[in-house]
Amino acid sequence: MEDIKSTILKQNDDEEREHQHVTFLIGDETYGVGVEKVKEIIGMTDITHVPNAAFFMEGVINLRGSVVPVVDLRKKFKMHKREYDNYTVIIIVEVKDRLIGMIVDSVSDVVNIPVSSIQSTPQFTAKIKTDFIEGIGRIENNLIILLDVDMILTEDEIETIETIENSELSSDSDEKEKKTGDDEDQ
Amino acid sequence: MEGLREIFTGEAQEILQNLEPEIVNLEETKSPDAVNKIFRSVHTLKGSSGMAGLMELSEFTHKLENLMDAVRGGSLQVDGDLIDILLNSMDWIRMNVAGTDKSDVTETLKIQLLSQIDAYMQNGNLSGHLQVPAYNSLSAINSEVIADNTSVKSSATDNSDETAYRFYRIKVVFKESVFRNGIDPLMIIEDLVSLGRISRRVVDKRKLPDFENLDPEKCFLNWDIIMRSGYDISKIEDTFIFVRDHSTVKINDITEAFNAPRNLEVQKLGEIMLSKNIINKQELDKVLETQKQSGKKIAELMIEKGYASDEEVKSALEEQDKIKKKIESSSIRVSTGKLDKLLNLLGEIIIGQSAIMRAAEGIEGDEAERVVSAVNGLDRTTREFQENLMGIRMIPIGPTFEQFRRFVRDTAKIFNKDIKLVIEGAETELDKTVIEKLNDPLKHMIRNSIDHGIESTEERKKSGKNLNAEIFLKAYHQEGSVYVEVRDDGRGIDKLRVRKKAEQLGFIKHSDEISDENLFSFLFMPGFSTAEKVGDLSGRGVGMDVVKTNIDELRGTIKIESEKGRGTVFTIKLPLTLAIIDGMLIRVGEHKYVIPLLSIVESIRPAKKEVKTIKGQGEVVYIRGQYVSLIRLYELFRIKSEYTDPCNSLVVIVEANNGMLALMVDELIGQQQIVIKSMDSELTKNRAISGASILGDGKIALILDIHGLAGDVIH
Amino acid sequence: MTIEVNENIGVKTVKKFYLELKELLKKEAEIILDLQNVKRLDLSVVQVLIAANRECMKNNKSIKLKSVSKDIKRQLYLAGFSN
Repeated sequence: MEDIKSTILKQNDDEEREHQHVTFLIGDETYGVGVEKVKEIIGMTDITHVPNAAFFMEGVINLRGSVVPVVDLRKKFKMHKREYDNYTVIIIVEVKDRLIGMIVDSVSDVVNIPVSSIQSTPQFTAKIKTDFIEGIGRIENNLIILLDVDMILTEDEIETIETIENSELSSDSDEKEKKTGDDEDQ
Repeated sequence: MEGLREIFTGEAQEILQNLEPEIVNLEETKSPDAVNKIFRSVHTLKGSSGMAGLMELSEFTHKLENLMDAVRGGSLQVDGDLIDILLNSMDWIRMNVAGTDKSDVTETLKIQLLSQIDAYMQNGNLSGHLQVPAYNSLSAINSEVIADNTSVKSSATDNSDETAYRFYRIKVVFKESVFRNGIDPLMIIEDLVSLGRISRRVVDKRKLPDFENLDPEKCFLNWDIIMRSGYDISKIEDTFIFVRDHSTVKINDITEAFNAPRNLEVQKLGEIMLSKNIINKQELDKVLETQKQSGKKIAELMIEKGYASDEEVKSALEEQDKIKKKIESSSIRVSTGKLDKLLNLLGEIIIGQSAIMRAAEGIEGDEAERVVSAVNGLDRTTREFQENLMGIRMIPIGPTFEQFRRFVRDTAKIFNKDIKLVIEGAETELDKTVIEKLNDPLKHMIRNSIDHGIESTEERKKSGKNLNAEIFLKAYHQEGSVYVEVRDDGRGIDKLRVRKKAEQLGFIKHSDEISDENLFSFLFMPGFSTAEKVGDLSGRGVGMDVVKTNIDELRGTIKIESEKGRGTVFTIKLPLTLAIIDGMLIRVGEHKYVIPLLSIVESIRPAKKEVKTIKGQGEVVYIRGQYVSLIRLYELFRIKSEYTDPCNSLVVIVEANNGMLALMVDELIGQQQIVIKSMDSELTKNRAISGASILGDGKIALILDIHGLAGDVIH
Repeated sequence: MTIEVNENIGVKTVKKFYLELKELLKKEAEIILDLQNVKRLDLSVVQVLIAANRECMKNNKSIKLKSVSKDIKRQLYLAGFSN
C-alpha cells in the first residue's frame, strides 16, 4: 500500500459563483471534472483483469478494501494506447452512488472556474463526443473540457456517419438541449 | 402458427406459476391488490391464447376474466368457493396449455367449472366486501402511484399551482414478453418525454445479454427517468395505460424533494408551537406560505410577524431538541447498512491478518513462532468477533415458520386433506436477508408436499396410515451451516416415474445407473415438473426449478430424500452468512480466481485417454463413468495460461445447476475464507463472475459464478 | 461493408436481422448500417444494436450507422445510447 500516494481532496462547501474542477491531461488536452464528483486520486496500482468486460474497462482495483472498477479514458475516447508511467494516475469518481476509477495521463490541478465563463456544449472540435462534455471552461487562454462522468462511464455509444442531410442537423446551435428531450412545444 | 403457440405456452406457464401463490394469498389477505393481479394475469392469458388461436382456452379465460372483473368491481365476495374455482381453473388451464391430454377428465372439469363460474356470477353475494376506497387512499398516502389505478391522484399535485412545473420520477420495468403483444416500449417512452423535458434518463441495460446469447424478441431494457413537466401526474400515468399488463410503472412526484429538503423539520417546529397554543393554525399556514417564498427560517418569520416572542420560539426550539434527543437515546435501531460496513471492516482485518501470516512465513527462528502464535490468538478473536457481529444480523426463523401454519391449513383445505404442521427448531437463527429470501422457496416446497406428497384421506386409510398427515418444518445448525428441512409423511416420490421422465427428456440413458440423490435432482430441472399432467409425480409442478434457483442465490444446496410410502424430505443447507464463504483459490496464468468450496466435487489430472471431443458436446473429460464438459478457463476468459493441455494441468470438477463441469486450471493454491465484495456495477456485470475478494497480499481475485458460467458455456 | 437496412425493420423482422448481423460479424471487421430508408427504430432493433456494438468493442470490430435521421438519433438517445 505504501506505493500509493493518495491525495484526498477536501470539498469546498462555500457558495461561490465559481465551480471547482480537478483538471487532468490526456494527450495534449486538458479535461476537468467537478470536484464534488472526485473522491480521491491515487497512483497507478495493480489492476485485476475482468474477463469479457466492456472494451474500455481496464479491470478492478483494491481501494482500501473496496473493489472499484477502473476504466481507461484513452480507450473510452478511442485514442491510441500509451504506456503507463510515473505520472499516470487513477481519479476515483462517484457515478450514480458507485465509485469508479478513471485512468488519465496525469493530473494537473484543482482550479476555480467562474460559472460565467463556462460555455455549455459549444461547437467545439474536441476529440471526444460532445455528449460526454458538460461544458467548456476557460482560464486565461486555456480551454478546459469539462466532462460529464455520468455519461462517460455508463453510456453505450455507437458511431454515426454524418451525411449531408445530417450534418445540417448537428450544426444546430443547441444540440444538447435537443437530445435531452426538450419537447414541450411539440 | 406453431411458433406463436410455443411462445404462448412458455408465457402461460410463467403466468400460472405466479398466479397460484397469488390466489392462495388472496384467500389469506382478501387484498384488492391480489384481485387486480389475478385479473390482469387472466386478462393476459385471454389475449394471448386468442392470438395463438387457442379458442377453447380463450373462451374459458374470458369467462374467468368476467368473474374476476366482478370481484374487482366489488359485486362479488372472495370466499373459499371462489378460491376453489380459481385454483381448479388454473389446473384446467395448465392441462389445456400442456395440450397432452384431451381426456374426459379435462372435459368434465371444464364443464363443471364453467357452470360453477356462471352460478357464482348469478348468485354471488353482492354486498361488496372489497373496500376499494381504502385502496385509493392508501396509495395517496404513499404518494407512490402505480399506474394501474388511474383515478388516484397524488396529494402533492392537488395543492400545486396549475402553472408550475412538477418533477416526476418514472421507473418503468417492461416484461420481457412485451414485444409479443405488439408493443414498442420505446414508443411509450417517446410519448412520455413529449410531455415535458428530461432532467435525467438512465437506461438500465444490465439485463441485456451478450450479443451471442441475445433473444432479440424479448425486452431487456428498463428506464428510470426524471422529468419536468407542466402536466398533472395523471396525465403522465395515462402514457402507460396500454401497457398496464406488460409493465410495472412507478411514478413519483418528487418536486418537494427537489425543492425543499428543510420542510420536515419546519413542520415539526410549527407543530410544537401549535400544540402549545403559541400560534394558531392560520398563523402557521401563513408562516409556512411565506417561508416557501422567502426561504427564511421559520423561527425568524414567526418573530418577524409578531406571532410569537423570542422566548416562546426559543423554548419551542429547545423542546424540538429534546424530542430529537429522546428519539436518539431511547432507540438503538441500527440500519443494516451500518452493520454491513462493520462487516466490511472486519473483512479488512481478516485480510490484514492473512498478510501478517504470510509475512511471518518469511521470518526465521523464535521470532516467527512468536508472531505466528500472536496471529493465531488474534485469529480466534476475529472469528469470535465475526460470530458476534453476524449474531446481530441473525434473527430466529420461528416467525417465518409460524406464518406457514395458516398457509398449510388453508391449502390443505383446498385439497381436502387433513394436515398438521409441526415446527422444530424455531429458535434457530439465520441471517436476516437469508430468512427473507427463504420465504418463497419454503412456500413452494410446502405447497408441493401438501399437493403431491401427502395422499388423500382415503388413500391413507387404505394403506393403514394415520389419517392426520404431518408436515415438519425443522431448522438446526451443524458444522457451521444452517439446515432447513421440509419433511412430509406422504406417499414419497415414485422413482420409476422420475426415471422414465428423465430418460424421456434425454438426461439419462436406459442403461445408466444412478443414485437416488442424483435421480431426484432432476426434479429441479426447469420444465421437468411442469410438463406432466395433474396427479402425476410432479402434477402442478410448482416450479421446483425456481426453488433451486432461490437456494442457489443464497449459496446453498438442496437435496431430496424419499422413501416410497413413508414420505419425502427436502434438506436445504445454507451458509451462516452471505458475506464470507469458504473458497478454493486457483490460478490460471497470472490470474487468480476463487471457486466456492460448496460447488467443488473434486480435482484431478486427467489421463490422455480420458479427454476427448464428442459431437454436440464439445470437449469432455471422462470421470467415474460420466462425460463431463471441459471448460478451458483461459479460452473462456481470453487470457494466457501456463498449460494448454488438460493432461498437464488440473481440472476442477464442479457441480452446476444442470450437471457437472470440468474447469481447467493451472494450479490449486489453497482453501481459505473468502470475504465477498460485490461487483454489481453495470461496468463489471458478468455472468461468470459473482463477486470479488481481496487476498492477503492486497490483490483481487474474482469469484467464479459456477451457475452463470455453465449458462455461458451451454448455448 | 455497408448494409442498407430495410424500411420495415421492427419486431417482426428483428430475429432475421439479428441472425444476419451475427453471421456478418463473424466475417467482417467493420459494418456500416445505412438507415436512409428507415423512419423509426423500435426497441427490439435498438437492443440488437446495443448488444452488437458491445460485442464489436470487445473484439476490436466496429458497427457504424449511416444516414441517421433526427428522429432516430433521438430514439437512440432515449434507448440508452449517447449519440
